[in-house]
Amino acid sequence: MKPQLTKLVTGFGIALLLLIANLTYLQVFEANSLNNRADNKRSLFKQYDIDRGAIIVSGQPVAYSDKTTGRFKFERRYVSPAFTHPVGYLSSIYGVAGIEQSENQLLSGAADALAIDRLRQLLDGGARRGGSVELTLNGPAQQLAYQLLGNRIGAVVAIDPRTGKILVSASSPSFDANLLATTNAKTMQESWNKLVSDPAQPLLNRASGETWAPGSTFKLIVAAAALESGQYDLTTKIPAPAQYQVPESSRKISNWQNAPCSAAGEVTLEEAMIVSCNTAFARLGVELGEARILRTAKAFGFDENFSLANTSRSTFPTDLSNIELALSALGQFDVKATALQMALVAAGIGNEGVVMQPKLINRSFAPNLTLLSQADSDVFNRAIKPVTAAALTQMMTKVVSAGTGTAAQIANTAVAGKTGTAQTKPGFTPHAWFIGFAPAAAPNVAIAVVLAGGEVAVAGAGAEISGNQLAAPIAQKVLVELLRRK
Amino acid sequence: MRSIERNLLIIVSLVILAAFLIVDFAARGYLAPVGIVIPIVLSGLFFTIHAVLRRYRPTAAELLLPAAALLTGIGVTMIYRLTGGVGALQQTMWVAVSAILVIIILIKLPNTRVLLRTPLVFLLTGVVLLAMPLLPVIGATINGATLWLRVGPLSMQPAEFAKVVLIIGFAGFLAKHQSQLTFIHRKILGIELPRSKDILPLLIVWLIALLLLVGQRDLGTSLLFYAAAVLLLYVTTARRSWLIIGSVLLVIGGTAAALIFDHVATRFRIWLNPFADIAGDGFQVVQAIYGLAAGGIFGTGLGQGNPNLIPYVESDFIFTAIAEELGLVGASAVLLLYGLIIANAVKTAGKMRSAGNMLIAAGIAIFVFLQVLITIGGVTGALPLTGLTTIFLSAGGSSLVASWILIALLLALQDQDRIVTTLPTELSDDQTRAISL
Repeated sequence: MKPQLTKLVTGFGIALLLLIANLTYLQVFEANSLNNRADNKRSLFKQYDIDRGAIIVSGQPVAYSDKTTGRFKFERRYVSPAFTHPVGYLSSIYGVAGIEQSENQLLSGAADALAIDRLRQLLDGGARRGGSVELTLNGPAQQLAYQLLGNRIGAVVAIDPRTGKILVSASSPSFDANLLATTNAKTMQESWNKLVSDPAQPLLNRASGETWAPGSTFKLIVAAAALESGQYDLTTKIPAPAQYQVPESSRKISNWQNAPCSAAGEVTLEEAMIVSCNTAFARLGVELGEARILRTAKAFGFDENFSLANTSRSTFPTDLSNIELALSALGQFDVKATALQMALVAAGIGNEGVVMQPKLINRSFAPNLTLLSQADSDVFNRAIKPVTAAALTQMMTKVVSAGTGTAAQIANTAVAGKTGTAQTKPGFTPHAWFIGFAPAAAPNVAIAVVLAGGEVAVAGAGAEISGNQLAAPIAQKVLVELLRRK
Repeated sequence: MRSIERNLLIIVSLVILAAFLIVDFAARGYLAPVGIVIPIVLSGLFFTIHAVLRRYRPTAAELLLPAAALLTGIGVTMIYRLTGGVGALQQTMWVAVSAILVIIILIKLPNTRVLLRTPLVFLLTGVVLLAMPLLPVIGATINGATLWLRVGPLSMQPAEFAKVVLIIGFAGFLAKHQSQLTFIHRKILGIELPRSKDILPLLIVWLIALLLLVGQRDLGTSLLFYAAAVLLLYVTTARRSWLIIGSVLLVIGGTAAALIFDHVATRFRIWLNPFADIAGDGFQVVQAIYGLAAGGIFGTGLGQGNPNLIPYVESDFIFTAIAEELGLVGASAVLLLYGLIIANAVKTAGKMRSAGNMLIAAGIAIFVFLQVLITIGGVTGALPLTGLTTIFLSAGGSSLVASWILIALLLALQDQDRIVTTLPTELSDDQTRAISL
């Protein structure tokens, strides 16, 4: 053969080997990082080829995979918008959220614990199957809470104070997760665009992802800090005039309707709590100082992280002037809390001062339904002393029996609670809060309800009234439902 | 006789049948009649070519037909999987057209000497074919590249057939001017340079390639023909100076085109960083690369991947669909099949006695190699993307028919010298007698 032909074929051989080398680089060495790129739809599409495990609430699947005959093997289905925020969604274009995201490894069958199952499925042939997850939620109570929120913006969170199990985590407005999980790309895109442009922002999780000014519910933390300091007890008298001149500040804090909290001009700590006296708590806050309130707030979980996915951190501000401190003691200024956080404050008080780590996953199962794991009860923090908790419980019981939270009363069961009304912007109605627990003596449910203030004035919305008028009745109904089930 | 070819074709037929059944059962869940009919028709066509070879071209290479048949079968299977029964039937029809032309060439083609006599006719025909898509009315632009002729519902890429004609034209021309082109004028910086007037033909090819690039907005075709001409010059003369001159002109032309023409620059930009514009210009290549990554070593399995995410996957990007579903293993097997055909063509060139025939065989090797390199390099991000089709695999008639014509030419070349070489071993007294009484 002519030498130039030998050289030619050698060159061709090298070039073809280089093509194979390039393929090897892309298909073997770079494959993982390419597969994990956020814009790579194939990895998401792969999820549709898996018999993904169900998400179960109260014995019923709320999210499950359904066999389809189309381009994908399975389609994800969701039973109710009431569960959308805790459960999340699985969308081929817009990603994964909620439990679908945090438990993706297990649900998709990729978890290490499922290695033997995967091997068996490989031998059997057929689609990969995922494990299932049982949530701690109480299905009927979750549905009820979602219905009670109606078309208002807000959230209901209920927790078992003894275990930290989340019984209700409802966020409103919600949406139909099926619209994002559909295999019809057009429907999916249109639904997403609608959700994103909706001014009510239905994609936000108001129960654990959004923070709000906690308003007067924060007075519980101030009272706890006062009791823990040893300088106060329930009978300690605190001046409670119509207006409180904040030291080193030109500004005054006023009571609702500009009246003193009692004819005598001073109240006990207990009375201040029962009537939610602003001037007394503003003074108390300034006298206690920033450090003590911050320490107590932290003990309940402010500025800390819970071991729960998709949860925002609640915050208490620092480096405060006196007026800022006075406002912060009323749960205003830059104090921000999630509904979950305020439910945990109530739960901690009800559980003799011990805040439990919140849990949303009760049990997880392998594809063949063998139990993989079961939730333990973990202590988040011993936030306050049992005697402090008992004193707070006593005050909160009176708030509901004879104070600002009467709308939360339940026949034959003592309810402990605290209302809150957080100012938002001038011209806007305030956020309405209610947090509490029942039965007061030995609670098995703690709750937080928050309803967002808005531009449109709600009839009767004023200061303390709105917490009792709007939030407490919802809390009462959800508590009744949850207590009935116990 | 030709039992290796027959046995290999039996294996190829079984592989294609199995692949169709896998697509039917695993991907669709039911068995469609076309899923059985197409593999049987394909096998029938390949065995008919085998029978013709046995009768008319008994000494032609036995590996060539099975290799081309397997590539074609993989292509039809992937088209079936990607577009369904109608697309696969259409492609099967084109396989039938190819087979008929192959059979006609194998039976009727005179000795290639005849073809080599009139190189200018072939060269001019080739250039006309190349330029045809630029004509009004019948010329058509698809996906930004003006590579098509369209008459009613039929469309074709004349450049694919220009390939066949130009291989013969180049071979005839170069064989005629071999000594002249090999002549060295002087040495500059250690490089032996031909006479400047001998560079003229190459300059003409270069200019035509540049005009094509500008007119048709496609890198692939102009690069293919230009690079083929340079490599053929090298094979003809064995002088490295032609490679150097060719490369210099390529760099000059490419740089100028990238600087002047936006569409050329865009292609280069995508090539350098396809991820810079994932949703826009880089979309196709990025989706193809994601497909490769999803395939991994062994692939997702036929019908189990998502190659349909890539626009025009059944034509331009069919190779990445194979790499996605059959993995690195399947993709490498396809490249090795191309390697087999190319090596066989070069081997044939080495055996040829006349320069013209040698250059036809080498031309086939060069065109097949360059087209594989440009298309597969393009769709896997190794080279800038072009509008060329992947030979034997892509959906579409022009490319398939032209590729099979090249195989037929090669088979004919391998056998045509038999008549000269196989003399009767024992001659009778009558035949050797000088004077007949």
